[in-house]
Amino acid sequence: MSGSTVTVAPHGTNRITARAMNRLVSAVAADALGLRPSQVRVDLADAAGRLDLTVRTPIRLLPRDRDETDAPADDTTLDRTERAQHDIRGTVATLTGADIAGVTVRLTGARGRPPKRVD
Amino acid sequence: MTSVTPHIGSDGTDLPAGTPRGTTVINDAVVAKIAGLAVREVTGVHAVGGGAARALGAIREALSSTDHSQGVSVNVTGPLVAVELSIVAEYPLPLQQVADDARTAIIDAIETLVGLEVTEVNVTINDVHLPDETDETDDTGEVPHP
Repeated sequence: MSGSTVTVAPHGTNRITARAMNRLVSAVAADALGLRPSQVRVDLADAAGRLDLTVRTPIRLLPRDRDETDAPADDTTLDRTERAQHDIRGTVATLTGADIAGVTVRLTGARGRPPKRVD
Repeated sequence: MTSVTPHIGSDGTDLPAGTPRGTTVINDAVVAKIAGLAVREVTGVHAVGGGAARALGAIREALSSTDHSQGVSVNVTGPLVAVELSIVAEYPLPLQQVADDARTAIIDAIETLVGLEVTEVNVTINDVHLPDETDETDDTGEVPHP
């Protein structure tokens, strides 16, 4: 299959198809950004034998004054995206064993969750 | 294709001519089935087989005639076996580990139960199963949302 990642093991090879890689990366990215895997688009590319990932995703906007916050208060969208980008790189490398050349995160939109109303 | 073991019952030494009282023939389908059963037990293996094989497998299962060798193809040459395996791995387990565990399970099963030597097991992970999307039918080639 084209676009698959092949690793040589002692008694044979391990092949990860592009589809499997795609799904795994979208799941990792979704986890890192608090989205559903189906909201994330992934492009795989070859960078001189290494794997280059492009993740297209909307960002979930967090209310400035949320109480249940687990992130620092001055956490900008850019900070969160950068952190997610690092997480994606690390987790994908651990889970697939692939040699990752780079991870590009493209934010394609912003999703806000309207504040809950009490009435 | 079948594999023939002429020296059954021998303890490594060549038997004098005329001594063997028959041959043991192990059909390839048996080897594939044993490998298929072994790989199902492995942690991190969600399903065995490619997309079409799994769809067909679901129908077979409904008719309670599960094909245990689904996703496994064996190539027996004399006492040597090469295996091609296709699996769906469970997220978020390390794929290389799942593939290596599947390979070990197959080698163990074939070498102990069948007694043939496994030269290689090529594992293809063709998909990853995400726990929270139970059976969402989404294709990779879909059009992005506007």
